[in-house]
Amino acid sequence: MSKSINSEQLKDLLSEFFTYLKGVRAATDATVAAYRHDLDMYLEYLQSKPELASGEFLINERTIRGFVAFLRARGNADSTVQRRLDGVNAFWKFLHLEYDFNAPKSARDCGIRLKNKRNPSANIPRAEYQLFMETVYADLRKIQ
Amino acid sequence: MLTYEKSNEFRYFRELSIVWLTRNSKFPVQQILQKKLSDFTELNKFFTNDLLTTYKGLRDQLETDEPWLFPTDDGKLYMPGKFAQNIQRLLEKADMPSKPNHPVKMSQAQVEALLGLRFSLQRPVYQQTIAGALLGLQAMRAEEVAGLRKKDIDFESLTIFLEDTKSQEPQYLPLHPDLVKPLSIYLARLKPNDPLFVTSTGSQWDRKDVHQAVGKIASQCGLENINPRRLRSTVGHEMMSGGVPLNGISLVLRHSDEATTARHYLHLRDIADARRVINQFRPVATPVE
Repeated sequence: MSKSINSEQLKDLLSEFFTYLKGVRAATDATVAAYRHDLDMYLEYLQSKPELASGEFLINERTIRGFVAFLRARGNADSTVQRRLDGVNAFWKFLHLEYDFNAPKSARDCGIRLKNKRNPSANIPRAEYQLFMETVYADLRKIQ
Repeated sequence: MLTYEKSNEFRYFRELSIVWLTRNSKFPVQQILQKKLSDFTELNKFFTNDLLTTYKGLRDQLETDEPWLFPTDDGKLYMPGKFAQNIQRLLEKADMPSKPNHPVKMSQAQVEALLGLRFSLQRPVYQQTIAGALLGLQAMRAEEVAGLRKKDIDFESLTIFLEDTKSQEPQYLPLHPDLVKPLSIYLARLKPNDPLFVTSTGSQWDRKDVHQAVGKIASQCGLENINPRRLRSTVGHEMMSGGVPLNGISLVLRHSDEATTARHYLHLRDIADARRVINQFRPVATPVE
């Protein structure tokens, strides 16, 4: 089920979430900082929604779709949108595990299509890598 | 084609070679400017240093069918008036009186000052090359390369110290043997706390400058879409296909968790192993031709 959280509860939950990230998920300071920023953006989006009371927190498929539209309207690339969703989804998952919130959904399950250009295996073909390194080596030999 | 940095280097070595030749041979400037590529060996006898050979290396990269040994940037015949102007500019850059600017009349101090410009003019090219090597050999991240300082390179322990890393924890990286000599020569010109890489305005590089350096090397060899992240990934793949154990690759790439290395690179080995097995697999006696 989708629950609503008021601003006082949210403050406590966020504090608990960041402790959970470090303690349970062994997240680095950089990850915690990035997720904190993602959630700040999500809260900014919620505040822009007139139907929600001030400081009220809600997370469900509809708000995630709205958040994606909000980020895209700000000119964020899909890779950035994906990054922001990582932080918000981590919090959603935490709420699901610890406070019986509705199960988090992936962007695809929320009906969102993101073009992800990141490909960890996008290595350079061997011939091109060799050509690049031959050029580098030829210039390294000239350093004197 | 010469990159912007190499064009500067080309012009510098051209002017210095002409100055040296005019002062050490009996040829007047005009005659030297009309010398052809085929005269290189004969002219190199007047040099007791590597000025002309270094220049020739750059001249060979100029895309032109013109025969001149000392042409303009676009391969045309270089004129004495233009040469005089360029020497004057170089003297100003070296904080020396711009007159006299005729090679024969120039003072020894002026010539020394011109020779002293060598490192500052070669530095942009050296930086580009060293950055390319740190990425393509050491699999460093763009931010890590940009943030390096001379004090981070330790030639005694052959390590690179990385203060700002992705994990936000300082790390040490073994220095690749092929980098020891060029790096030690390059760093000898810098002060202990100097950044390894600086822009033309003297500020330390950021990741964008590292990307630009890689792009320039790539375009020099006619390649596209080469960037620091792909170079890092390629080093991992090359090691994996070369049979380096996963924990070794993980160490070089400095992944905080070996699972990251496995997630990104292990599938390659799995496919190679599976291919070896499937190539042996023959359910029928007669293979398809």
